Amino acid sequence: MDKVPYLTAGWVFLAGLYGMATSRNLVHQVMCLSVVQSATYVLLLASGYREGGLAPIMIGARPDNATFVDPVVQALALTDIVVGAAVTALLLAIIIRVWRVKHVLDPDALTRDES
Amino acid sequence: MSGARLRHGFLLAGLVGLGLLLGWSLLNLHPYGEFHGPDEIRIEAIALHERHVTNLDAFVNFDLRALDTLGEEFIFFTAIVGLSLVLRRLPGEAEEGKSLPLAAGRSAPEPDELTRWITPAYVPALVVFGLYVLIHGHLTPGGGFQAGAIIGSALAMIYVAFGYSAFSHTVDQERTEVVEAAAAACYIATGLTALAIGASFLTNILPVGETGRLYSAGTIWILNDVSGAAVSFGFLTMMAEFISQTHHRGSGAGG
Repeated sequence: MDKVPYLTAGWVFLAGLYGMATSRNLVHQVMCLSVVQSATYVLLLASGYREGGLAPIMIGARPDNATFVDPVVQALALTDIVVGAAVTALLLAIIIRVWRVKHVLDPDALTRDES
Repeated sequence: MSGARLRHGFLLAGLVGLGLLLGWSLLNLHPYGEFHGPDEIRIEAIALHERHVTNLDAFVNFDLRALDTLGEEFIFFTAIVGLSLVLRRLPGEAEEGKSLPLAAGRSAPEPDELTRWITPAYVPALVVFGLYVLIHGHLTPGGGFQAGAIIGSALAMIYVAFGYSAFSHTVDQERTEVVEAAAAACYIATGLTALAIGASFLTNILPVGETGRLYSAGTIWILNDVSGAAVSFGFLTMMAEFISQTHHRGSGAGG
């Protein structure tokens, strides 16, 4: 049972992937991509956790020989979130462009128009 | 349509296969809560005793991985440049008028009266809070990226409460773009200064000061602040760009 946080990340990843593949709306598809990305936050933070660990902030009162959770994966999660926001914004902009040109948001209708 | 059903079958088979592999690899990770990284002792020692920084996340982001954070900041920067480029109006589609229609049978909601009352008090307080999170990023939880998100969302409240014209009066997109680019340039300039005095790119060259004080941690403090400025003005540029999509410039409709 101690692997539940990791499996949660896997489950969120697969759920988002299923949503992306079956989505009928480009905006919905981008939201599913964000869900996939959230799985990586869960996995990163879960993998750096230490039993009884405190947040890696070394200011103020803290017990002697306290353990801290790993700051490296937290910093990576922060990077992940910023990149995720940038990717989401760029994809939404492309969707606005698609709508302006084709007036559809269904990914299947896009390929149908092409042929 | 049988094509769609076939495709769905393929998808499920693929997901099950991927799920099994993913589950297998995840179950082989170290037990939850027992992470023993190679760096755990050194990071804390270096951060506290050599850099005088108390927020270890800030230490990792703006000292150990300062070069990666530079890359991250430029991913953000490039995404915003790309966003402006993708959304610019091409000559042929200038006055189409129905670029983003509302859903059938619905009109744009009027801003709530309560929101209008609260926002003038709420926005300055939130901006001050964002600045606090920004300049104490090396000491307490927070830092440039978080502060950027706080300040950006605070100013988005102006659009929610008072509509497009108020927002575009407050946030001048041409200026936010300039400030964002200048802040990103300052990050590089800090790195180059280290090169100029003979150290490696982005070395922490400034005096580290006294642990726990505002002016401490050397260049971590500077890098944290300039990336905070870049992110907050980046978010503002992003919002201004998206919001202007639903309101044609010149047509002037308020909310």
